[in-house]
Amino acid sequence: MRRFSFLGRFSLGLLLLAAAVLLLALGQRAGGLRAALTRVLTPLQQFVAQQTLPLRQPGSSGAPAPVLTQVAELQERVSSLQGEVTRLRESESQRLLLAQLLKLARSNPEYSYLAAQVIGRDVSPYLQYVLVDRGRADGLLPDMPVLAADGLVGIVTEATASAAKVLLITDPTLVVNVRVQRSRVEGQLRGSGPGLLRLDFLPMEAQLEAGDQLVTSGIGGKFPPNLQAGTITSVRRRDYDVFQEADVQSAINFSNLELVLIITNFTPLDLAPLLATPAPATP
Amino acid sequence: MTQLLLGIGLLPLAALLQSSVLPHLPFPALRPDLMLVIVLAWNLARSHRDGLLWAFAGGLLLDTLSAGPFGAMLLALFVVSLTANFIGAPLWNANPLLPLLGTVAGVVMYHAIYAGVLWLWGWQLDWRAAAISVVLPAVFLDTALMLLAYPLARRIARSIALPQVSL
Repeated sequence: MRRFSFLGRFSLGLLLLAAAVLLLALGQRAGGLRAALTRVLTPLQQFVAQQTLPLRQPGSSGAPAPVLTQVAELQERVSSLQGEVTRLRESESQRLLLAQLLKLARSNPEYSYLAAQVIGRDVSPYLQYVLVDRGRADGLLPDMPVLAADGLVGIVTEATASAAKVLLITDPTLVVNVRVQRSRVEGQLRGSGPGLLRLDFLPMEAQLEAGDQLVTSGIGGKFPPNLQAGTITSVRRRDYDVFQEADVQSAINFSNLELVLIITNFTPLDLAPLLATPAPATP
Repeated sequence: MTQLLLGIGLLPLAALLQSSVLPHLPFPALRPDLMLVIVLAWNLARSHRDGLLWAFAGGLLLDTLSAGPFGAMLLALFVVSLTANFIGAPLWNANPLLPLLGTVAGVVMYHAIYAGVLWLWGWQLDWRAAAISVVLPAVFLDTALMLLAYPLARRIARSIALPQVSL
């Protein structure tokens, strides 16, 4: 009897293992299944994100003051007032965030923006993505730049009808062309771990120092120019290197992103045809 | 039936917590693999088919909430669960240290498979940094969580197990 049970489990195990490998091999072609699951999970995720907002905003959690009296009526009153305080603090916190985003939007009036709430982070510890509660139905498309009040956040990589995935600039796979504001030197900014950024390909003769501000250069056409990207914290210049490099600190707290702005009217340039090497002319 | 309902309730909750709540805890670098712990605990405590179905469903949910290759987390979670399931609950239950050792091995295996798939699919990974800043903390955190999850899973598994009748 036990052997039959094991055989059944063994067969099921192999079958599901084969299904897992098949799904992985199908990749993008299994996108329909992923999209269907996303449609189901997104409303649940929005609900969880909403319910856990105080937990995600430690500064505005409104931890209850100790209840000093045991009188039931007073306890009820205190708890009611505390609830009110939490709600007000939450509103105030949201208002401040929105005011900062509005200020940012006003400082770059040439762009159209869409505000989105961060409802989750990538479950993989190796990937630096966040999920936002806006999707294709709101006009979101892949490659749209994403900002927060303190600067560049990343880029939309995938959008379903109601949600989108945003690749953060702290991910090593995303390269941002930037310019040092003071010295006008250009380099490439890329992630080097959770919350960390590194600036590469800086000429050895460039004069850089901690505190220098970085903005996007617009080179490559992937991001609009002049978006705040971070501040240099230290510079490494070694005689045997061809380029110098620098550690960069973004003003954004990527682990506590709540609201972001997505630039919806920026069209990334497709430079690939211009960069392609022309075929040699045949005699 | 009970285990099916339990899975339907528990697995989406674990996936949503792992995506929306755990990254915002005071130490964001310390992110336990909640889904892995739950599914592995169930497979260590109960070597039945439902453990494999939990692993498959849990992996699909994780992949849905990730931007990585679809199926990568599923494969990693499933291989670990399959191994634990085939080794069998009687062996895991033989010594209280064995489930913890199994967890350590399972976490390392899970991350190795997942990171390996990412690498094969062309993602850039700093292996040394990943080992130090992701795998090592995950081993400690997940094993600590297993101290709670495994006894709980065993208790639930025992309560829903059908009585054995020998003829």
